[in-house]
Amino acid sequence: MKKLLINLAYTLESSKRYYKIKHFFFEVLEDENSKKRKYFDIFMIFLVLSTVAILIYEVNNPLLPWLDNYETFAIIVFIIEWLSRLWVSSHARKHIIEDYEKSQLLAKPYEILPSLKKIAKEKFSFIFSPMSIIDLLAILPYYRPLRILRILMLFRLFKILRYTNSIKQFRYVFIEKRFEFLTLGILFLMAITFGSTIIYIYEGAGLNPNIHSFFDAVYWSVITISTVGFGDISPVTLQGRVATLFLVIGGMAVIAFFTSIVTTSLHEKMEIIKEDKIITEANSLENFTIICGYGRMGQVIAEELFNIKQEFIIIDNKQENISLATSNKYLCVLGDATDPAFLLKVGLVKGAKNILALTQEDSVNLSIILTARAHIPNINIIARANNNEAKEKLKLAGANHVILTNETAGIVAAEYIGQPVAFNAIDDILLSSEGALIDEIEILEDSKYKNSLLTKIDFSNYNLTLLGIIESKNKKFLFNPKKDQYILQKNDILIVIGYKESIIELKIDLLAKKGEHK
Amino acid sequence: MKESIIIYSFSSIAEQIAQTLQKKNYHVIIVDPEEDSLHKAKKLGYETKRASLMKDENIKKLNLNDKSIKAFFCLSDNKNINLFVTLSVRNLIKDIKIITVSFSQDDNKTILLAGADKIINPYEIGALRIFRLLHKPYILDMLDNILFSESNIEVEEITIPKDSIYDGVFLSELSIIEDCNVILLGLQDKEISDNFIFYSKGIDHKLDAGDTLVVLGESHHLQHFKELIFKI
Repeated sequence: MKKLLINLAYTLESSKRYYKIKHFFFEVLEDENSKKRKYFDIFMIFLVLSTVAILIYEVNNPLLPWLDNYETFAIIVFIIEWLSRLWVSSHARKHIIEDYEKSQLLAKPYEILPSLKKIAKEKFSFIFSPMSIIDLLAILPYYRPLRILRILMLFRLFKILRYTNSIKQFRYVFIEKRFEFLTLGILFLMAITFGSTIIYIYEGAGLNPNIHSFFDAVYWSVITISTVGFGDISPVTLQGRVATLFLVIGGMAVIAFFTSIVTTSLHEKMEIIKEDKIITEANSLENFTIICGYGRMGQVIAEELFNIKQEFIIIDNKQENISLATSNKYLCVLGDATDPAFLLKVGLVKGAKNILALTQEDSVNLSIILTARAHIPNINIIARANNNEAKEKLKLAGANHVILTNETAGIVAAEYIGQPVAFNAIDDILLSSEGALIDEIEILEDSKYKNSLLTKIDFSNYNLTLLGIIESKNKKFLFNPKKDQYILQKNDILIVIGYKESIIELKIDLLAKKGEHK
Repeated sequence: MKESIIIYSFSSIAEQIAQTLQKKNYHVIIVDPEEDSLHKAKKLGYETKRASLMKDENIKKLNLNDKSIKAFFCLSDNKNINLFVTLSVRNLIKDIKIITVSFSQDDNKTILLAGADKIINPYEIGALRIFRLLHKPYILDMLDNILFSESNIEVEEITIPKDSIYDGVFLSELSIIEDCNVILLGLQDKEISDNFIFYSKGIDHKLDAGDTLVVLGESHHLQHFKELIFKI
C-alpha cells in the first residue's frame, strides 16, 4: 500500500500529461488572466441562472420531464466542477514525495500517515472555505429527501460571485469595514431589544390585539426602526406610542450610519476596481510606451502618439493631470513612477517598449531610469533633463537618449535664423501629416531588388527623392549614394522624401517578390 | 561684417540660444534690465546692454533698423513681458525678424498676434524630438547628422541671382544637380507664395531669378554647385 502510493506520486510527478491536464483545469477554474476561464465563467453563470429560472417556473406549473433532465445535467456539471476544484486546490503528491525524500535523507523508515494528514488538512481547508460551502449547498437540494431544502437552490446565485471579479470586490467591503458594521450591529440590537421589550411589557398582555408573542414585538420593532412601518401592528397605549417615537428617531440614525458606511466604502472600492481595469488593459498591450509625467511635454507626445495610433499609458502623481488625460480618453493611472512595484504593475516588464521620464525633477527622472533599467536591460529609455550636468547623470543611469529642452530649442532657433527656408522645409517634412514626408523603407529578404543596382529603382518615376541609405552591414548612413555603383543589400534602409501616396506605391513595389510582376 | 542678434532677457533658454548662435558666428548682444544677469552674460563673453524694453525710447536706442541686425529674440521667463516687448518692437520696426519664447501651446496664438515671426516653445520642441526618437529614430539620427553636427553634409539655401543663365530653365533641365552630386529638396518661389514647394511633388517648375533652392550635399559639392549657379 505504502509502496503503491509512493510509486503513484512519482509517476504523476514525472508525467507531463498529468501536469498538462491539471494545468488546463487550473486555467479554466482559477487562473484570472486566462481566456478559457472567462468562457467557463460565462457558461456557469448561464447554468446557474437557468436552473433558478426553472425553480421559479415550477412554483405554478407542472414539472416537464426535460426540465428535470436539465436539472440533472446542471447538477452533474456542478459536482464535476466542485471535485475539480478540490483536485487543483493543492498538490497531494508533493507532500508524499517531500516526506519520503526527507525520510530517505535521514535514513528513517517512511511513515505514510503524516503525509496523508497533511494532504487531508489541505483538502479539508478547501472544503470548509466559504465558497466551497456555497458550492455544496447549491448541489444539495437535488437529493430527493432533501427537496424541502429547495430554498437552498438560491445559494446557486451566490455561486455567481465566484464567476464575476467585480462583484468579488464588494465582498471585501464587508470584510474591511468589520469594525464599523459591528458597532452598527450592536447599536441596532440594543434598540431592537429596548423597543420590543417595552412594547411587549405594556401591550403584550392582551391590550394590543395584534401582539400575541414576543416575536410579534420584535417583528414590530424591526419594521418600525427600519422606517418601513407596515402598520399591521401599531401601538395603542400612550407608553407604547412614546416608545415608538424614540424608536423611529433612533431608526433614522441607524439607517443614516449604515448608508454612509456602505456608500463611502463602495466609493473607495470603485476607484480601485477602475484602476485595476486600466492596469489589466495595460498588461494586455504590447510594444507600448509608458509616459511618466503628463506635463507640457507629456501632453504633446501623447497627442502625437495618439495620432499615429501607437499605444501608451500615462503615469502621473497629480490628480489634476490624470483628470486632464482622462478627459482626452487616454489610458492613465495615478501613481508614483519612482515606485518599482507600481511600474511593474502597469506592465513594465510585460510589454513596454519605451519608457519616457518627463517629470520636471531631474532626481525623479533619474529614479525612473534606474528602476526601468534594473528590471529590463533592453528597454528604450528617453528622459528629459533641465541642465547639462543632469544630462550626464541621466545618461550614466542608463537612459538611451536625454533631451535637454533648452538646448534643442536653442539649436532650432539658431537654424531658423540661418536658413529659414530650409528649416521650414525640414520642419514640414518632420511634422506635417499631409504634404511631403520623410520615411524609412527597408529592403526585405525576398525583395526583388535585393542584390540589384540602385538604378533599378526609378525614384523620379515615383516622384521620390532618395536622401541616402542606412547600410545593413554597419548601420552607417550613406548620403546620396552613386546610383550606378551601389548594390542593394538585404536590410538596407532607404531614406526617401516624398508624398505619402508615392511612398506607399514604392513600398508595394519593393515588397513584390522575385519574379512577380506588379 | 558679422551679423548681429539681439537677445532680450538672459534667461536659461537665452543662455543656450546665445551659445549656439555664437558658435554659428553671429555677434550676440544681450539686453537685460537686471545687473546680475548681465554680469553673467559678460562673463560668457557677450556684448551687453542694460535696459528695460518696456519703454519705447529704450527700444529706439537699440537701433534695430540697422541692416546688420539679423533678428531680435524675446526670451523672458515672463509671458506678459514677452507679449509687451514683442508688440512694442513690432510696432516700431516693421521688417525685423522677431522670435519669442512661449511656454504653453495656448499662448502661441497671442504671441503671433503680437507680431512675432516665430515661436520657440522649448517643451513642444523637446517633446516632438522625443516623439521622433520613438517614431523614426533613423531619420532623426540622419537629420541630426546633417543639421547639427560637424559632418560635411550640409543644407544650403541658394537664391537664383538676376541675369543667371538658369533664369527661365525648367527644373527637369537642371542637369547640374546630378552633375554636382547634390540633392534638391525643393524651392520657394517668392512670387507665388511663401510656401515651400517640394521637388517630390512632381511639378516641373520654371526657375526665375529670386527663387530660393534648398539643396543638400557635401560641402565641396555644394560649393561647386553654387559657383555654377552664380556664374553669369
